[in-house]
Amino acid sequence: MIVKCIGLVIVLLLANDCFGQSVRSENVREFYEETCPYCSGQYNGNSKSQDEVELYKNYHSLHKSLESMDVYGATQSLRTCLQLNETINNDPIALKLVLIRGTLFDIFGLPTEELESLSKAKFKSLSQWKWKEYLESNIATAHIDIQEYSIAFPMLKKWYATISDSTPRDILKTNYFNLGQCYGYSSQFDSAMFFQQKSLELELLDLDTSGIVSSYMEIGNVFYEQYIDDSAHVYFKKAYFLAKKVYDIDLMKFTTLNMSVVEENAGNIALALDYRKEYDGIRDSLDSRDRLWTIAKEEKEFAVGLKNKEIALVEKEKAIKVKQLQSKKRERNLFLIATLVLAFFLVAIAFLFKRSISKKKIIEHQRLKLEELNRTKDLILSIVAHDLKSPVYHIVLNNNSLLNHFDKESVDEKYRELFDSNVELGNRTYQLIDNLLNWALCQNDQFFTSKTKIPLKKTVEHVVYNFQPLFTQKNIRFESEIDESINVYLDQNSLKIVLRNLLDNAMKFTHEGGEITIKSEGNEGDFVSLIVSDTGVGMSKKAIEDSRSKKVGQSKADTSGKASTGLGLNLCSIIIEKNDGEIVIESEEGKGTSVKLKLKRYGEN
Amino acid sequence: MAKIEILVLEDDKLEIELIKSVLDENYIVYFAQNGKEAIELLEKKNGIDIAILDIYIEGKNEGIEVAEYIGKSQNLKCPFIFLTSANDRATFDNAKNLSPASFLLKPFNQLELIYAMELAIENSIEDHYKYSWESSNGAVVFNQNFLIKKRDVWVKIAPSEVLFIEVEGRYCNLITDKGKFLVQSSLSKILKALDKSLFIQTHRNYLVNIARVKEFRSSDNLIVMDNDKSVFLSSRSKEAFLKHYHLL
Repeated sequence: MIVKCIGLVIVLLLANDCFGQSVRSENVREFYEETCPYCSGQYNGNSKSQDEVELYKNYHSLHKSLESMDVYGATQSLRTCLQLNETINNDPIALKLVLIRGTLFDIFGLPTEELESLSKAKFKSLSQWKWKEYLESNIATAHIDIQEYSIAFPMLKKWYATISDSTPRDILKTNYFNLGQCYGYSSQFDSAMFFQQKSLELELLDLDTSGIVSSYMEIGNVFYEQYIDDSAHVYFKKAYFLAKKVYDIDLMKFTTLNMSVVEENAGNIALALDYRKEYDGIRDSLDSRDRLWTIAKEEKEFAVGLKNKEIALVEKEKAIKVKQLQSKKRERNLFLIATLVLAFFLVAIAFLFKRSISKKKIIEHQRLKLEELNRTKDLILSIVAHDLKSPVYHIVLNNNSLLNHFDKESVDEKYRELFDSNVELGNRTYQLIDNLLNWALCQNDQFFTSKTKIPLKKTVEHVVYNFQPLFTQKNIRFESEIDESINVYLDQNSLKIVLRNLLDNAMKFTHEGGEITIKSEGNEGDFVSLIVSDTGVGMSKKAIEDSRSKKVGQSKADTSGKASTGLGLNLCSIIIEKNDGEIVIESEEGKGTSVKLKLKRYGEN
Repeated sequence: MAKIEILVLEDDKLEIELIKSVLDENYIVYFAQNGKEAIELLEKKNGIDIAILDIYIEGKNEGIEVAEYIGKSQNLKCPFIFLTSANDRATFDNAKNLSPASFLLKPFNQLELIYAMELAIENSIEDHYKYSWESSNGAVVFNQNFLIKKRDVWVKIAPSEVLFIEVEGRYCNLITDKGKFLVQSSLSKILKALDKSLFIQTHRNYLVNIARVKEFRSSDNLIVMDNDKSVFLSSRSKEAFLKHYHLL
C-alpha cells in the first residue's frame, strides 16, 4: 500500500517532466517556437491586426513563462490567448494552447482535466503531425496518473511496435518508464524490469538526475513487489543518496520517506525513525519553501491586485472626472441660464422701477403743482378778501356815520329806502368778505386761535349789541337767557365769528315778527351748551348734511328772496371744531332752526 | 378824582371817530397818527394809564414798535391793547410775543372796546390789588392809584384824595372831596394796598388819611376830618393814632 503510494508520487512527478523540468531538450523549445512568430522570426507587424499582435505577444510571454516555470504568469497569458484566439482562429496556435492547457492542468495536479485537454488536442491534430508522438505519450501518462492502466497499456504496446531510430529520446524514456509501470501493475515483473532498465539507461545517458532517481525508485519497487528486498533496498538507497547528492528537495523528501517505510517494514525501527526524522526535516524545509513560494505568490497577487485596484481607481477617477466634467458642464449651463434669467429679471425690474419712478415723479410733480395752485388760490382768496375787507368796512362805517348824522325826515322816502338798502348791502357784503377771509385762513392753517377763559354771557352780549338795531328793524323779538357764571375755554374771536354767523342766519331766515333766542344749558362737566334758535323757515336735511360735511353747499333764498350761501354755517363747523367744540343743528322746515354749540367749559382747575 | 388817560395809536379817521364817541366823554384820550407821535405822547404825558395800539399803520407794523418801546422802558408802566383787523396767524404770533394786555379786533362796538380795556386792567394787575373788579362796583389799585368803576365808567383816585374809608356792609366807601366811591371789598384788603405811613386804621370800620385830619376830640374819641366829617377812634387804636398824630 505504502509502496503504491510512493509509486504514485513518482508518476506524478514524471508526468510533469514530459514538457517541463527534466526534459530540457531542444525539442521543447522547438515545440513552442514553431508556432511563435517572435521566436521563429516570422513576425511582421504590417499585415497583422491589433488582436493578432496581442495574441502573439501573449503567446510568446506564455511559453517564456512556462520555460521559466512561472505557472501563474503562464495561466494569465493562456487565458488571454484563448480569448483572443476565439476570433482569430489561428489553428496551429489553438492546438498548442490546448496542449499547454493540459500541461498546466497536469502541473496543478488535475490529471482528469489534463486528459480532457489532451484528447481534444489529439482530435484536432493531423495524422502526420510532428508532435503526435509526444501528445500520445502524454495521454498515456495522464491515464496512468489516474490509474487507468488498462487504457494506457494497449496504447503503449501499440507505440512500442512502431518504435524506430528516429523516435526522440525523451519519448522513449517516458514511454519505457510508463510501460514498466503498466507491466508492474499487471505483475509481469520481468517485462517491467526490462523497460525500467531501458529507461534508466537513457536517463543515465542524459544525466537527468530526477529521471535517474525515479528509475531507481521504480526498479526498487519492482524488486520490492517481488519481495526481493535486498535488491530493492540497494536501488532505494541509490535513489536516496543520488537525491541527497544533487540536493533535490522534492526527490529527497520522498526517497527518505521511502527509506523510512522500507526500514520499518524490515523491522529496523531505529533506522526507520532516523529516516523519518530526516524526512520531517526535509518536509519542514519544503513546507517553508512552499510557504515562501506561497507568500511570494500572494505578494505578487497582492501587487497585481493592487495594480488592478489602482487601474480600477484610475478608471473610476477617470469616470468621476468625466462625470465631474459633465456635471461641471451642466452646472455651467445651469449657471448661464440662471444668470440670463436673473439678468432678464433685473432688467425688467429696473425697467418697471424706472417707469414707476417716472410715474411717481409725474404724480409728485402734479401733486406739488396742485398744492401750489391750491395755496395760490387760498392766498389770492385771502389777499382779495383782506384787501376788500378794509374798503367795505369803510363803507359800513360811512353808512353808520351817515345814519347817525342826517335827518331821515328831511329826505324823500325813495332815497331813504335807497340808503337803507345801501346800509344792508354794506353789512351783508362785509359779513361775506369776513367769512371768506376766515375760511381762506382756515384752509391755509393760518387761522389764529388763542384759547383763554371767556365769560360766555358777556361775549354773547358783545355780539348781540350789533344786531339789536336790526332785530328792531325787522321786528324780531330777541331773548337771551345765559347763566352769567359760565366761563368757556376757547378763542373769543372764534366764538364771536360763529355767533355772528348764527345770528345773521337766524335773522335772515326768520320772518318779521318772529323770535330768536339764545340760551345756555348746563354749567357742569366738560361741556356747556349754547343754543341759538329761531322760528324761521328751517333747513332741509341735505342742507344740514352739507354743513356737517364742510362742503360749501347750495345757495338758498332768504326771507327777502336774496340768495345766501352755506359758507357761514360751513365756516362755523370748521371753527368750532378747531376749538374742540361741536355743532348740532336741529331743524324742521317751516318751523325753525335750533343750533346747539357744545363748548368746552372753563373749570377753576 | 381824575379821568383815566388813554393813548390811541390809529390813523383811520372813522375809527378815531368811533373811539372818540365811546371814550371821550369819560376818559382823556390822546390820539397819535403814527408810532413816533405815540412815543412822544407817552413820554410827555407821564400819566397815561392804557395804550390802544393799531398794529398796522399804513402797512407798517408801528404798533408793534411802540409796544416794544413800552416793554423796554423803565418808567412807562402802561398796559397796551393791540387793535387789528387782521386775524391771521402771522400777525398774532408776532404780537403775542410782546405780551399785550388784550386784543381788540376790528370791527368792534363800544362794549367790546370797554371790555378790552377792562381786560387790559385785569391782566396787568396782581390779584390782591383787585376788588371784585368784574362787578359794577369793581375797583383795582393801579400805579398807586385807585381805579374805580362807577356807573360803568372807570375813574382814577389818588390815595391823597381820599379823606377816609368807611365800611358799609359788604362794601367800603372811599370818601373824597368829590363824593363817595363804593368798592366791593373788605377794609383790610384795601389797607394792604395803601401806604401805611399815610393811612391808619382808627376803628374796625375806619381807615383815615392822616394828612386830612382836622382835629382830634379825645373826650368823644372822635376824629374830625377836613370836610368836617367825624370818624370813630377805638381805644385800641388810640395809641397808634396818637403816635402818628403827634409826629405830625
